[in-house]
Formats: sequence, C-alpha cells, structure tokens
Amino acid sequence: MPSYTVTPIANLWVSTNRGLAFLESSDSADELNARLVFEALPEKKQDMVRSRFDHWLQGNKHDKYFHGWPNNPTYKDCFVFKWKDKRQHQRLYGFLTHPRPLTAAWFMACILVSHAQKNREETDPSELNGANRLRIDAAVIKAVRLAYPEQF
Amino acid sequence: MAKHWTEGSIEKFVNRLSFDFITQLAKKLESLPLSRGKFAEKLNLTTGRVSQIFNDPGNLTLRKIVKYAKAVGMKVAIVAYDDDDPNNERGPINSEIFAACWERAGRPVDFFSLNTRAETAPIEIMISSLRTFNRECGFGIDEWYTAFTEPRVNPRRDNSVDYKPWELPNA
Repeated sequence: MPSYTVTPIANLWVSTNRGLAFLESSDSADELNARLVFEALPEKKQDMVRSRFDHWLQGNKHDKYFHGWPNNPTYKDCFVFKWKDKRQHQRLYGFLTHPRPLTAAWFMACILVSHAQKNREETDPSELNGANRLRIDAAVIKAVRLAYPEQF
Repeated sequence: MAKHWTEGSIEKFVNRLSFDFITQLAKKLESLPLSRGKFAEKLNLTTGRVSQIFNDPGNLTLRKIVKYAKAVGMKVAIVAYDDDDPNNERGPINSEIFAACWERAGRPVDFFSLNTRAETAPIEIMISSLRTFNRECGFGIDEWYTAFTEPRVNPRRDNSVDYKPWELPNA
C-alpha cells in the first residue's frame, strides 16, 4: 500500500475559498509526476504557470488556462491546468475536493496529480480516470485532510 | 507569513501584470469578430508570434501594452493601489477586478460622473434588476401599471374605502 503526501503549493495567492496542492506517492509506479514536472520547469515558465494558478485561486475563469468538466457526470470532479511549450500542449491533471466540510464547506482544493504532454488538444480520458481513482482512495482522502485540516 | 512568488523580483511582478493584461486581451479578442490572424496583421506580427505572446507574454513594455490594447479597441490605465499588503504576502490583485469595478460603478469617465454615479449607483442597480425581472418573468408596463394603480385597502383605516397607493391618508 503506497502512502500519499499532499503538499500545498507555496507562495501563491492566499485565498480562503480555494487551495492548490500536489499529490505524491511513496510508490513511483503511481506516476504522480505533477510536482516533479512543475518544479523542473525553467523559472520563467514556472512563473507563467503560477500566474495561471493564481487566476484560478482568485476565482477567475478562462478555459484556455484551466477548466473542469462540470457537465460530465464521470469527470465532474476532475480539473486541468493548461499551457503550451515548444508547440506541445502541456497539462497538469488533478481533482477537486472539499476537504473542510464541517468548518468551511465552501473551501475547494485542487489536488494536482499528473502531467501530460501531447500534440493534440483533446483530453486523454486515462489521465482523468487516474485522477478520479485517486480522488476516492481512502489514503489520498486522509492525506488531503491532513494538508487542509478543519479549522475549529 | 510567506511572501507571494511575485515578491521574488520586480521582473516577476511585471511578468504577472503582463499575464493579467494578456488575459484581458484574449477575452476581449474572443468576444470580437476578429481572428487571431487579423489581430496579428494589425500589429504586423505573425500568427505564430501572437500565439506565443498569448501563451507566455513575459515582460511586456508599456508601449507594446498600449499597441496591443488599441488593436482590439481598448484603452489602458495604470492603476496604483494600496491593499494593506505592503510586503506582498498575498500577491497582486487581478487587473480584471479593477475593470469589473469600473463597469459596476457605471463606467464613470471623469470625477464629476464618478461622484454622480456613486450617488445613483444603487438606483441603477435596482433599475437593472427590474429590467432583468421583467425580461425573465414577461412582466410588461401594463402589469407594473396595474400593480401600482390597483385600489388598495388601508388596513389601519376604514376598510370600505379604497385608496390609491399615493392617496393613503396619514395614519
């Protein structure tokens, strides 16, 4: 059984409504590479992605930077951040969750899971299925609650 | 408290401002019947270069900001503000917030209209809400006239006498 760690992304816009974090696993076979890929980006690219993160945290909407699938019952809790680099579509996939149901039910966290690079704009459902599987994993839920505890 | 990533250097802060600006521009461009190709033509740039700018604007100069805004029929203001965050722990306020506030304030164009707008803003919001209500409920001028002119019974007075709303005697 792999153990999971959720690390809130530091130095972003501070919001009481939303939070953004990376999910990592003790088992490398899980391929939870979102954090690794983000941290390996050149500084300027990283800042450009941070700007996208900030926009989401501030409640902005722009499908070209990030979006979910609210009208798709299977993937309604999945989320993606997008950018282009060297003519390739870059994606960070994750899932949405409400980790503080008792004290801040409105608070929503986006837990980023995996990275994908592709030539085509369309989403690969396998990435979303992976995020969906982790979203309901008891060990992942525990790790998310640990990173975003209730605030009594 | 940790500082926001834009506190790392002036360049990082400028990059974030450029990003906010280009987001506004991209949204405006989407709302216009103007393709990216035509937009590129207006600016004497290739479509590829425009895509590059929209994907990662980097550090835009003021000159370029004004040029790009004009190409989509917009103007630019540089807004300094004090948000009680002198150490930039929270990060910059999104420039779209300022644009949205200006719209909500009735788009004042000078200090005279700013003051007038501030006084009438609640009424304008009410009128706008009524218009929305009318549109969504099919409530027309006749219905409003009836609602206001139907005889009312003053419960505090003689119930056998009808009063118009504006004729109600002093209680």
